Amino acid sequence: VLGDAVSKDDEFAEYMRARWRPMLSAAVLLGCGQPEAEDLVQVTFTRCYVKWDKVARADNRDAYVSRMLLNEFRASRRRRWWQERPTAEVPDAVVDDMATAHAESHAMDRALGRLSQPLREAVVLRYFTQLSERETAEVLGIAPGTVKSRLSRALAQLSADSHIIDLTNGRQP
Amino acid sequence: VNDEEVTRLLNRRADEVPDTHAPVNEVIAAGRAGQRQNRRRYIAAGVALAACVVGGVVVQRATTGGAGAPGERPVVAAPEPRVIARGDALQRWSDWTAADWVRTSDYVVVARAVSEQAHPNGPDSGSVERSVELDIKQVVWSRPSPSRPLPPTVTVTAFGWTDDNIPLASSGTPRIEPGHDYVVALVWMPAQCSPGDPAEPAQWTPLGSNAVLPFDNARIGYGESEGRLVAGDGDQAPAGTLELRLLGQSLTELRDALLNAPPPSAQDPRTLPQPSTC
Repeated sequence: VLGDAVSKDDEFAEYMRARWRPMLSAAVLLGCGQPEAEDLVQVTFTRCYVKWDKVARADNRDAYVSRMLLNEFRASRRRRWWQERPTAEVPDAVVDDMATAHAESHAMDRALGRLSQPLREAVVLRYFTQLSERETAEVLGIAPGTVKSRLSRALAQLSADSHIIDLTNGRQP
Repeated sequence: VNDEEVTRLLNRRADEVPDTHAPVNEVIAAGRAGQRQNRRRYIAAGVALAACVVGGVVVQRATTGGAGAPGERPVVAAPEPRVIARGDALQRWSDWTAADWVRTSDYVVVARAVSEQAHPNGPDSGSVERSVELDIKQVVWSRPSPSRPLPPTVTVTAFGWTDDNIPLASSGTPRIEPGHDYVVALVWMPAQCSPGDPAEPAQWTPLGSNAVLPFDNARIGYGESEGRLVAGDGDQAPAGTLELRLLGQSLTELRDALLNAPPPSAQDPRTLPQPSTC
């Protein structure tokens, strides 16, 4: 039994170390600030540990854990009087005019902030976490056709976003 | 932009996320504690003692987590609340000062939390929501034309539990637990619905995190906050709040503060969201 426990801990630890950074990034892309993202991912992994037997058996472990992250995120963001209001604009960030990478990151941050949360979640799961459309649909609990339409609308909005247009025109946003 | 470009830009943004150390050991320790908590969940032996410790108040807690029908949660020993960081900057309304309360609230009342209900969100949701029924004991202040008459009881949503049954609380804010008294600034919130979110019916809601004050024994800052008992120590609320300003005082001082608050100006009017339905 002790051996099983050690083996489970080792397996979990290896998985968590490998997925910590991508999960943290996904949480930020979903709209969390850095400290909130760290809390969210830590809570998600704690739940993951408790349910490790189930997580380890999942057909697609990353998709399963992504769903747990999304559930935690939604629970933390559910609008209540003690929490936030939705905002169409993310706060201004300091941009280093000389750093293209930073400018792109900043532009994407602002463009993501203008997407509705359902579109944003679809974009992050499909294009960042690299789930298939079918897996994205399963994680979001919607039909694959709905994923397609959300991604299509998201791409259209991103293409029309002034920050992204400025980037593609070669100017700083 | 196409799929590849979006992926590239997302990765560009992800590259800027600081690469912090994965707290593997802490997570495993917390996970083991959670498992132990689950195993102890049905042990009710400490209930009477716990209730005595919190001042004779019967504290209701869950014996079961996860999905199920809403209902009263049976009494068991209460674990320590998990306190979540506040999101003041993102609250719908400012609620720090008497002027903030007067600008937006419909009523400021003294209320006793009389019951609570759990509302499981479903498997893997990570949390169990909670509603609390408040018995209005006294109206301390009301705006000249409130949105609607105040009923004798109102039900508000409050922090609930994790799905492994740990109470959730917000830093520096009461959880609103049955048996305790509170001063609450209430607003009638129009029905709201936005894509992707569950529809929210029109309802009474506290103005914000700083607009629910512990008020046991008719003293501001005494009673329950963050799920623990506080006694006007001054560390239970952030600096700049009405709670700290009036710590240990009575309704007389609160009413004076509200009546003497600057009235809303044309530059800073009351703003309520328009009703929206799905």
